[in-house]
Amino acid sequence: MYHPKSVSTLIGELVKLPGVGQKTAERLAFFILKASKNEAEKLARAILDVKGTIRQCSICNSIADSDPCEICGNPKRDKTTLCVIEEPHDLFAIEKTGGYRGYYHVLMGVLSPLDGVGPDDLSIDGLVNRIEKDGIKEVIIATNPNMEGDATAMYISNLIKPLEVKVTRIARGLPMGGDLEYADEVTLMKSFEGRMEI
Amino acid sequence: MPLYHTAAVVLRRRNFGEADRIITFFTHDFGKIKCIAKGSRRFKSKLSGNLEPFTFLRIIYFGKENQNIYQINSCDIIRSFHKIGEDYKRLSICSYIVELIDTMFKEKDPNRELLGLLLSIFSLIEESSDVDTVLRIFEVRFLSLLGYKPALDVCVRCNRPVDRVIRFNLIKGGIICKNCFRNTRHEIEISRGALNFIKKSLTIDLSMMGRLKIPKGLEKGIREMLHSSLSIRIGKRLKSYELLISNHSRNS
Repeated sequence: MYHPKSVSTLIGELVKLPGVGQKTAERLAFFILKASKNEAEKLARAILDVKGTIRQCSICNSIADSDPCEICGNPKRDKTTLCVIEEPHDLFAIEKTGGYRGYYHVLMGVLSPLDGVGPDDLSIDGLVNRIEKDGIKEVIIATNPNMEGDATAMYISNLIKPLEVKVTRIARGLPMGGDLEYADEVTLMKSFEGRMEI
Repeated sequence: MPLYHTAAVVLRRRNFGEADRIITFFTHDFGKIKCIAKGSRRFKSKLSGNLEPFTFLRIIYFGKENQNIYQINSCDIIRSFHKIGEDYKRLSICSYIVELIDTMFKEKDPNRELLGLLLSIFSLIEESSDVDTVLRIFEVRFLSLLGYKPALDVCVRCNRPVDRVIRFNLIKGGIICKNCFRNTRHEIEISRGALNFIKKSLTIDLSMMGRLKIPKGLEKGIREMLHSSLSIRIGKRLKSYELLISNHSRNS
C-alpha cells in the first residue's frame, strides 16, 4: 500500500511494538497524523523521557525514576519482609493490590535451562547479601506458578534456608470468578493441597 | 479442517503475542509438532496449567494437513511429572533430554519407541536419587534410536572379535582392537567397566532401569564418552548441556 515516506517510517517503527500488526500500526499512525502538533510532541517527549530518566534501582533491580527507587527509599515499609519476583512488571502487579507492605527483590529472570538461563544469570547473590545485611525475617518467593518458577523457588529456598530466615511461597489455587468445572487438574490439585481452615 | 487426537509430551514452550504460547509436542502418532495455545498464559484459560514442560497429555488440535503450526483445541493430563520442577538438577537434566530430541528429530517423524523411552525416563528422574545414571542410560538408548547404536562386540575396523579393548572410535561408534588402533582425537580410552555399563544400558528392560548403577570412578569417563558421541552427531552446542556441566562443576 502506498504511504508518504514519513508515514511509512512511522508505521515501520510502530509495527515493532508487541501485539501491534500492520493494520493496527496504520491506525495508530493515522491517529497521530490527525492529532494536534502539541499532542504528537507530548507523545514523542514522553518516549524520550522514559528512556532518559528511567534507571535500575541498585537495591532491588526494579526500574524507577530514581536510585534507590521509591519503594526501597521508603522507611515506612516493613523492613523484615522481602518479596522475590521475576521481572519489574510483577512488582507493579503486586503493588496494585495494596496488600503487601514489605520490600522487593527482582531476580531479572527465572531459571530456564532450555533458554540457557542458569543461577549465575540471575540476581541471586544480591538477594543473599540483602538477607544477610538487612535483617530480613521472611522471604516470600513470588515467581510465576509454572515449572521454571517453581524450580527457581526451590533453588532459592535451599540456598537461603541456612541463613535462618522464614521462606514462603505465594499460594496457588483457583482464580476469583472462576468455575471449578473448568479448572485444570494441576491447579485444582494444588488448591486442595493448599486448602485453609476457615 | 480436520481434528487430530493423539497423546503427546510437551517438549518446550515459548511465549507468543499477548497471551499465547507456542508449544512443541512429541506426539504418539505424528512425531514432533508445533501448536499455538491461544490465551494459555491467562490464569482463567482451561489450557494454562496443562501445558507445562514434560507433561504427558491427550491433545486435540486442528489445522490444515501441511501446516507448520496447528492450534490446540483441548488437552487432558495423563501424567504431569510436576516433581521434576521441584529440583533444579532434575529440571536441568530433563531440559537437556528435550533439547536433544528437539534438535535431532525433524517434525512429523513419529517414533513410538522414543516416546515410550521418554516417559520411562521422566518417571525414573522423578523418583530416582541417582539421576546421573538415568541420564546416561537415556543417552545410550537415544544414540541407538538415532541409528548409532554403539558397536561393542567386534572391532569396527577389522570386524574381528576384540579380546582386550583399549579404545572407542567416536565417529565409527564402536570399539577398536589393539591392531587397528590409531592415535587420533576421535579414538578415546574406554574401560571394561564402562563398556559393560553401556552394554547393559542397551539391553535392560525399561522397567528395570532403576536397578542399573554406574561403577564407582567411571562416571566422568562414561559421561564424556557419551557426550562426545552425541556431539559429533548434533554438530552444535546445546545450551542446556552447558548449564548441566556448570552445575556439575559447581557442586563437585
